[in-house]
Amino acid sequence: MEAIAEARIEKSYLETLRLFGEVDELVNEAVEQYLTNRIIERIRLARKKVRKYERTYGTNYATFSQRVQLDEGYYNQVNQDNSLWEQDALEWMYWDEEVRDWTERLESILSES
Amino acid sequence: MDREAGEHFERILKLARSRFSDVHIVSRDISSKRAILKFRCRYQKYLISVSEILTEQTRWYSYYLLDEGRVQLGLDNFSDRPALRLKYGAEFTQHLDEPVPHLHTQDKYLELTEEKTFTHFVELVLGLRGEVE
Repeated sequence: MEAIAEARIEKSYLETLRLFGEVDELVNEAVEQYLTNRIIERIRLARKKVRKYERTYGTNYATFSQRVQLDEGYYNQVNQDNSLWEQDALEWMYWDEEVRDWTERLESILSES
Repeated sequence: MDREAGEHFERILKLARSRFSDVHIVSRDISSKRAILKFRCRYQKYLISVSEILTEQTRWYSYYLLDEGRVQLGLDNFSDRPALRLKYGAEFTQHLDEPVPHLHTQDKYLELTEEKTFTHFVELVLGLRGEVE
């Protein structure tokens, strides 16, 4: 494993950590577990936001964005149904990209563990 | 992204609070590669709906003034079909991911514009020009 940073650990934690094994290894395991949990929370939040728009528009973002640009009939229908659809599309794009990026980051962490 | 986006959003909210009423934040999130602010507020009888997304490459924006759900005025740069066709004609499919700044007026009549900011939108709404900071 490549050493990329040092961190300070409280003395009381350090003493207890030594009872369970090699400190560097245990700290890395703990950091990995922490990051995995935080990323999963983030993906859950982003997926919840994405699902709201998928229910509203009945499709996923990739299909929606392609149809609204290429299919004139679909564009007219969306435009008629919702005056603020562009704002929905922007926020949908945001959370869709968040799901993708954090999923990639999670896979990267898990593949190295 | 964190600090820059946070400061940018604060400037927008400060301007909104100084000129409009009932500012209500709908979404505010700052992530590693992008940030979003979405809020609503009131101006006289009108509803104002604002969203901005900052990425490492692009500032996406959408500022709308509505009267009972009908668009009175809107500035955004989402690459929607008529905006793309106006800007690129038959070649529009080669530019689907590009922001296309445009103006919507009543009933979503559309024309192309230069890139706009929330300050420009406030000036348009208030009928001012270069008087809003």
